[in-house]
Amino acid sequence: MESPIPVSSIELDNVYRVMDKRKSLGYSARDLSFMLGYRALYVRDVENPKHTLRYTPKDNNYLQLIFECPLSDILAGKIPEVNYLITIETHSYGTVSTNTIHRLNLPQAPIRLKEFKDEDDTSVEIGTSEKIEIEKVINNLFNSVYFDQPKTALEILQSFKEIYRKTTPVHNVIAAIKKYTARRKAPRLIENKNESGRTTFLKEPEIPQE
Amino acid sequence: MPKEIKIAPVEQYIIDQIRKIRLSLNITAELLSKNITPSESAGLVGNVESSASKTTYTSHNLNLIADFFTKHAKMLKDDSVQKEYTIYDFYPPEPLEDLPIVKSTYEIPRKIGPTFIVADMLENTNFLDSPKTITQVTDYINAHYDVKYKSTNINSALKQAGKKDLLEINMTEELRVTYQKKKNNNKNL
Repeated sequence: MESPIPVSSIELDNVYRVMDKRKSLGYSARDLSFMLGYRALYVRDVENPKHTLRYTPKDNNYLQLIFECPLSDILAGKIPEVNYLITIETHSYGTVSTNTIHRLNLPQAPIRLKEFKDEDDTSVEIGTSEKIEIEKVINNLFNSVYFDQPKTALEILQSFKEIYRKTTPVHNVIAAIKKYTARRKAPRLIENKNESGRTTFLKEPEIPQE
Repeated sequence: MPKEIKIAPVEQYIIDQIRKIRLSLNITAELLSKNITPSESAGLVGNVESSASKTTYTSHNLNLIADFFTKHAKMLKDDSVQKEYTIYDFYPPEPLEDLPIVKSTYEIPRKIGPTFIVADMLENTNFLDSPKTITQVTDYINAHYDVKYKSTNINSALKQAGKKDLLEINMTEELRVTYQKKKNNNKNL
């Protein structure tokens, strides 16, 4: 067993409340990183107990906007024991790894805090007609004035929801947006960071050739 | 001109809420800092509240502050004071916009109670660095805050500050009571 790691109880609890919330809403770690406007592996790193990255009060505020939930769903009001000493056990079963976090509770036996599997990043394939419908919505936004002002991923998803009115996994929308960010030349979407450090998408129009 | 520092609106809200509660409980920035980061930054709260510093609170800090405010409030005899604090007391009731705003220091509203005013005087003015009679204190408060107090209105707030070791209360040869800020008024209450 690895040596115990000291962690902030409230911050660790915060991470796994957010993990439970995102899973209950069907979001992968990559989906949530995208919605937060951070790099693709950000949430995976936060959820890794060996990593020091944690959600900040600024993130918790934005997570409330993403999940449309009360603060109490993602953050405890108070934890009297301010630090935990934890151990992490990882077991691999074929291609699947399970992580178990225990809190030391001397002189009694350790308490199991959390158990979770590493996520399979493979996206579920969607039907061609649904794919075309999603791409059409994003294409219409692209061809309008919508992207003339920089938009965050959350803003795009909120607009998409209002137009599409059906539920579809976030990664399908991400795939449709990536078609425009992956283009080598204009017209395309270019990625920047806004003042809050979140990724934004802005249309780079095609320059008419003389 | 110093460079403006920008932080998230929720970070500013949390800083202001903690400052408001801290002053209403008569807790100095130094005392709170020592209770949340005993071995490290004794000036953490001062830095966080300063518009010249980028420092903001972490969730870990908020957990410690909620615990300290609760312990502190429970020691106070005043039953009108909130006794239990959680992190939810520091967050806004609804999530705020995300785009950063210029960091500022929360100004205490001038129309407030005697306990709040005495805490503000001790923390933000030099008025009580030398001994003052209750009449002088009352005149100062009426001149600088939007209130019209008589000495009797602030008597118990001054006594309370004395009990908390923030003020020295002495008797002059003319048998007048004087109040003066303790030089190291950061002892635990």
